[in-house]
Formats: sequence, C-alpha cells, structure tokens
Amino acid sequence: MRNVALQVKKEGRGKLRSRGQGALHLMLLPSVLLLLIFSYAPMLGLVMAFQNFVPAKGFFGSDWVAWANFEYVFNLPGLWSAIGNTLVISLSKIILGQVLAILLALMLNEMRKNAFTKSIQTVIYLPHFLSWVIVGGIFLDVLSYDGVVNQILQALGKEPIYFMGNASIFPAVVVGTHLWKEVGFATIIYLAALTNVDPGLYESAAMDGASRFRRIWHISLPAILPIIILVSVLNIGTVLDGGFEQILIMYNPMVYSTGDIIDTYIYRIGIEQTQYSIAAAVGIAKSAVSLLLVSSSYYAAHRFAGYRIF
Amino acid sequence: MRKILAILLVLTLLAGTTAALAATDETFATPGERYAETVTVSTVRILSPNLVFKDGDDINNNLWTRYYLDEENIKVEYRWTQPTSEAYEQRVDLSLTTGDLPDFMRLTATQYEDALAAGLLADLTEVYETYASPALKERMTLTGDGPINAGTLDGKLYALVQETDNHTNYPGILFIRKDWREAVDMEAPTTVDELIELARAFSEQDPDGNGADDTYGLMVDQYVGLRYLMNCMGAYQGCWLDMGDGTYEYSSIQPEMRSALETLHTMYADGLLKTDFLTSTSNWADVNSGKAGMFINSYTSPLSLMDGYEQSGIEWEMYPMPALTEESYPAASQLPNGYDSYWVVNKDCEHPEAMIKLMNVFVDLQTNRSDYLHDTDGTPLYEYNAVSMNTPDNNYINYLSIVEALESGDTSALAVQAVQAYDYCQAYLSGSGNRNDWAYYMIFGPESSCTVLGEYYIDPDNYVQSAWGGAPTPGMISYSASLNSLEEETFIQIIVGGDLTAFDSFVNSWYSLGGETITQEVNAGLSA
Repeated sequence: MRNVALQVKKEGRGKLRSRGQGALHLMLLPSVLLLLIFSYAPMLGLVMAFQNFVPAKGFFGSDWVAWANFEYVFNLPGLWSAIGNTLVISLSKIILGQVLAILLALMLNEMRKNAFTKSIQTVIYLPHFLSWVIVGGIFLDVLSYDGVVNQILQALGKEPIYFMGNASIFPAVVVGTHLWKEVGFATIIYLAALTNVDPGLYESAAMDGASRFRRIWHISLPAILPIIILVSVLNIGTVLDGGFEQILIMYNPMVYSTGDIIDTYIYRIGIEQTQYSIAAAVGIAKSAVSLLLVSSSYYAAHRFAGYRIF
Repeated sequence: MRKILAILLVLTLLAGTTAALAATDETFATPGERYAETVTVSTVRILSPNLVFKDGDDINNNLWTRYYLDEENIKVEYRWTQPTSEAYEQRVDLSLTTGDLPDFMRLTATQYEDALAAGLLADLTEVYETYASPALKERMTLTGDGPINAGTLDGKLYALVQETDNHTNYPGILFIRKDWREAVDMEAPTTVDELIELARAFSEQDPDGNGADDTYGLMVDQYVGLRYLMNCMGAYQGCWLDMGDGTYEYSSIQPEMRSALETLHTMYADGLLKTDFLTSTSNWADVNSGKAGMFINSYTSPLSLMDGYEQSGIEWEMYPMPALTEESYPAASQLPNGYDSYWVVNKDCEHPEAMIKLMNVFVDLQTNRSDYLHDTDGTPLYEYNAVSMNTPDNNYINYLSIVEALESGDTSALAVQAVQAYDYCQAYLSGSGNRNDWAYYMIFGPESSCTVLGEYYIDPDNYVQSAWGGAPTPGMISYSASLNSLEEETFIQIIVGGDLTAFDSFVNSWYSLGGETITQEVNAGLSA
C-alpha cells in the first residue's frame, strides 16, 4: 500500500492527470458534486438573513434590512439562555463522549479477542444506527413519570423522579442518553488505531516490568493521540449544535429553561411560523462561531502538538 | 398541384379555428347543470388515519367522489393529504412558498392574506353570484355579512369563508363524577374556591374507597386544557379586551392572569393536578380508570368518556364553569373573533365555478340525504367531502331539534343531519346500554352538555369576545410566534415553579419584543 501511495505522489507532481489519478478523481466526483449542490449552492440563499424574506416575493423581491434580523434575534430573551444551554450540553457530550470512548476502546483492546468481545462490539455499535425518533421515543416511555424506571424506584420505596419534566436534571438525561447511543460507535476509530500498534512493544514493556496501567499510559495512549486530537478538533466545530434531533424529540415546555438549545429555539420561532430570515440569521451566526473555533483549535493543535491535517 | 395543397391548407386552418371556437364555448357549464365533459379539479385535505373506507374505497374513490362524477361530472383528485391539521397547515405553507397550489383548497386567515398579497387567488365574485345555489347563499349569510366581508377585498370576493362554531366549541363544561361527589358529601361548586375544595377532597379523601392514595382532583389535558380554568378565574388567553375607556389591551398580560397563575400554582403544588399533566398522554385515561374525579372541557367530552362508562359504569354530572364569586357565576367563556377556514380557488384554475358546484352538492346532501352523511354502523360518510360549508354551530342547532323530537315523539321536523344522533339517543332511552348511545345522549339529550351550553352560555350570550376580528396585522405576522412561545413557556414555569416575578418580567418582554407594536396596530384598527 505504502509503495503505491509514494508512486502516485511522484507521478502526480506537475501533471494534472496520469494513469492512476484519473480514476481516483472520477471516484471523487459524485461526492464533490453532492457537496457543491447541497452545501455550497444553498449558501447563496443565506442572503435571506439580510432581507425581510417573504416567500411569495422570493430572493430578489424581498426588502433588504441589513443587520435588523440579527439585532432582533440577539435581543430575544430566550436566545442567550439557549446559547448557555447549548454550550453546557454540547461540551458535556463532547468531553464525556471522548473520554468514555477512549476508556472503552482501551478496555476492549486489553481483552483477548474472542466471540465474546466481538459480540460486545456489535452490541455497542448498534444504537448509533437507530434514529433518535426511535431511541427518543423509547427513552420518553422508559423515563416517563409512570415509566419502568420510576416503577422500579417506587417498588424500592423511593419517590418517582420526573426525568422529562424536571429542568435541573433534564440536561443530564439528554447527555446520558446521547452517550448510551454514541459512545460505542465512537470507539471504532480508536480501536482501529490501537490495532495498528506493534504487539512487540507491549511484550518488551511487559518484560521490562511495566504494569498493565503503565503499558496503556506509555504505549496505547500515545498511539492514539493523533486521533484524539483530530476528533477533538472536528468536534469543536460542532459545539454550537447540541443535538437538535434528540432534543426536539425529548423536550417539552417544562424543561425549556435548561434544555432549549439554539437550534430548537430558532426552530420554534423560525420554521414553525415560516420566519425564514430569522432562522437564516442565526444559522450564519452559528457558522461564524464554528469557523472561529475550528480555526483556532486547529492552530492550537499545530502549535502545541505539532499536528497537521493538511 | 400547388393550388390543391394551398386549398387543403386553408381548409384545415378553417376546420381548426371552428373547432377551437366551439371548444371555448364549453369553458363554463350552465348553472345548475352538469358539465358536458368531465372536468378534473385538484385539491388537498387533512385525512385522518381513523377515517374508514369500505369495500376497497379510498379518498379518491368513494361514495362522494362517485356522486360528484355522476351528478356534476366533476372528478376530484387529491394532490396530497396530511394526517393532522398542523401537518396540513405546514404543508400548505410550503406550497404557498413555492406558489404550487391545487385548483382549490382551504386556507387559514394568515395563509389567505399571504396568498392574496402574492396574487395567487381567483376572483370569485361572478361565479359565486351565478353558480351558488340559494341554499348555499343562505348558509353563507346566516349570521350576517361577516363571512362574506372577510373574504372580500376592494369589492371582489376571493374566498368563501366558513363561519365558526366557536360559540359551541369554546365554553368549558365542568364534569364531576357523581359517585365521588356523593362519597365526599359536597355540593357542586359555583365558585373557584369551592372547586378547589372539591378537588382537594377528591385527592385526599379516597373517594373511591379502595384504601389507596391513588386519586387526584382535577384532570387538565396538557397546556391547552388550562384555558378553561383560566376563564373560571376571569383570565383570558390571547384575546384583545375592550378596557372600557376606548383602548384595547392584550388579555394574557393583565393582572387577572397573574392571580390565575398564582392559584394554578397552588393547585399544582398541593397535588390537585397530576404532576406530569403537561406532558402525560394518559390524561383522558385517568378519568376513565378512576384516577381523576373532575375536569373542565368542551361539550364533546362524553365521546372520550365512553371507556369509563363501558368498563366501570362511571356516570358524570355536568355543570357550567365556576366563577371567582357567586355573583359572577357561571364564568364567561372566552371567544375568539375572526375566521379560520377560507375556501379559495387558484388563479390558474380553468373552472373556478367547480368548487362552488361542489359546495352546492355538500349543502344539498347535508340537508336532504342522510345516507350520504352516516353509515348504518356510524361511519361518518360526510367526511368524504372535498369541500364543505357548514351551518355555524350546527351541532347545537341539531341538539335543539333532537330534544324537540324526543319530547314530542314527532320526527318530521328533525333535520337530516340530526337523524343519526337522534337514533342513538332513542336507543339509549330504550335501554340499549351501548356506549355510543350513552355518549350521544350525554351530548344531545334533554339534560346534556348541550343543555348546559344553551342555558348558561349561548342563550345569555355569556362570552368575552376578543375585540380584534380582522386580518392579522403586520406586527402579528412578524412577532406572534415568538410572543406566543414566550407566553406558553413563562406560564408553564410559573405554574410548576411558582415564581410570580417571572410574570412581571414577561409583561415587560412582551411589550419590548413586538407587543407594543401590535397593541398600537390593534388600537388604530379598532378606533378607525
């Protein structure tokens, strides 16, 4: 594999296309087209954030209002609390998600590979493929005031907990159910990196008297450090997302104060009442922040860890 | 040779022109007669998954569509259907955005304004004048010229507006479990305080006598169910009130709402309402399974109480809403102004009179053909219609003729629409024990929810009507969404959490986030 890659690099320099390259470009073409049509072209529609967009008048007929939409949005009382909630929920998901995924991957790596470990892997990957409509529905039922969990609590003599209606514990419920669904799948990329580690390193470390913990600390972790940094940088870009689909399914007015994220708030204000301009304005603001965060974290990774993607 | 060709060409041209001339004569059918050639019109509708069809029929092929084809030579095609009214309205919003509308459809007030502004609607003035049957015209003007005016702009008619049933739909009826009230030995409440005491008794005194603390007093069906309780306490949601000094204010920010929310919080904190009533989907199940003893809801509630009647023989007493004081009993119900169903025709529709003809059919069948309204097993065949124009408050009008017939035994004056309900009531009186018969008797019988409606609301006109009945103002279109969201969230927070200062900050926010603008627009519009 390595030799082929080097060859391709040598040949490709200075020439637009050579034997191998043409086929590769062709394979990329559909994805690039998809990106152009669904990600780049719609960006032109962002102009509606600066207009008082009326669908019947279209882009060219609607009045230009410059920054008025942005001013309106940032004066909405719910928005700032939504931003706060988004950061809390998002950062918890990202940090806890990564830590748990790494731990799980390390533990799985330490186990002897057999049918049991394979079935564990299959089972923990599964929830990722389920849509939040299903998983959310299941949790809404299980965690409801008279659901299974509360029935068990009551059988044990405790008071039922209103998981879905208690604003203080709702973010924990959101993060917890998200971790249940996603941590398993997130271990894949770490496990893949770990399997590339030369077993000889472990053996020589064991012979030198390193305990299991030391072996993990000095061999496994450094091996996956580049992956950890890559995943972190990618995740930082999504910190303002917070999991729209999940929260939309699971939230209700009782938990808006802590569970409402930017996207759900703007969904209620914007799309439900067809206020497209407002929704577009918030979309631009979020993207601007994401751009800033991704650029600075990439730069930080480059300066402090000598890590590059490009 | 050339000459023959030329002559042939001219002849073909002539033939073509005469054919075209003949075709244009068929553009409009003669009033009262079916089209010579089948006319296909497209529309859209809400299609509940609960609507039953028989013998392989579906929405595109059923009793009514066959009638439309046979009698009027009109083929109705549904471009799409949606299962709920929210989904329907969202889909219509999308259609308005793209300008892709069917030949005719039903719009809400805001959608009508949008479509009108975008120039998407056909002028119906002439076709209504020419094609509407006398019966249809009578229905449209039954309550005055409100509906016609609502659909008219600059002297031209753009929509046929359905008058609302708000007078029957809005008032709340207090339902109390007869056996529980007798068990705790208390009178039916006429004031809010008495209501709270009764609810407390139901919550705490084990009215079903089973020794377990498994009952609560008042069932409230999520956030929408709170409106009735608020009306009891003199607070109104989303109305524009005439303050008496020539100004108009929004009802949800008034001090009466503040005290209503305070009382509601106390009720919630004391366990008179279910802890998760705002999110629970089993609220109605609670009244049927003996967990709740009272609720206030619309006159059609007995339809949701059939399970309890069938399984446990639960009987209910019905009263009007209690008020804050004895003197103001029974509490007035809020009543919105304006309309929510506008039937419009697409500007590009070739046969704008088709919708009017279909409406004529509806009025005709509803007045004369009970076999098109209900099946022998109760299936609501009238739901198959493509377009409707109902008599306003027709359920209450039917109730009056049913009670008349039950009393006198003379069914000759019974309206065709009321026949099925009358049959059910008669069956109940003959002791059928059938749950459906019981429910209809509870609604249409001589001592029913309609009786309470008539005696305490309709006859004495016991309503607080919102002053604003016109089209939504620009401020309303821009700001209502966020203001209504804010209102719902704040009210829920106060009822659950009890922090009344949130109400005061809500009032300030309401004004600064567009409420000020809307209030000015409403006042300007009403004083003009």
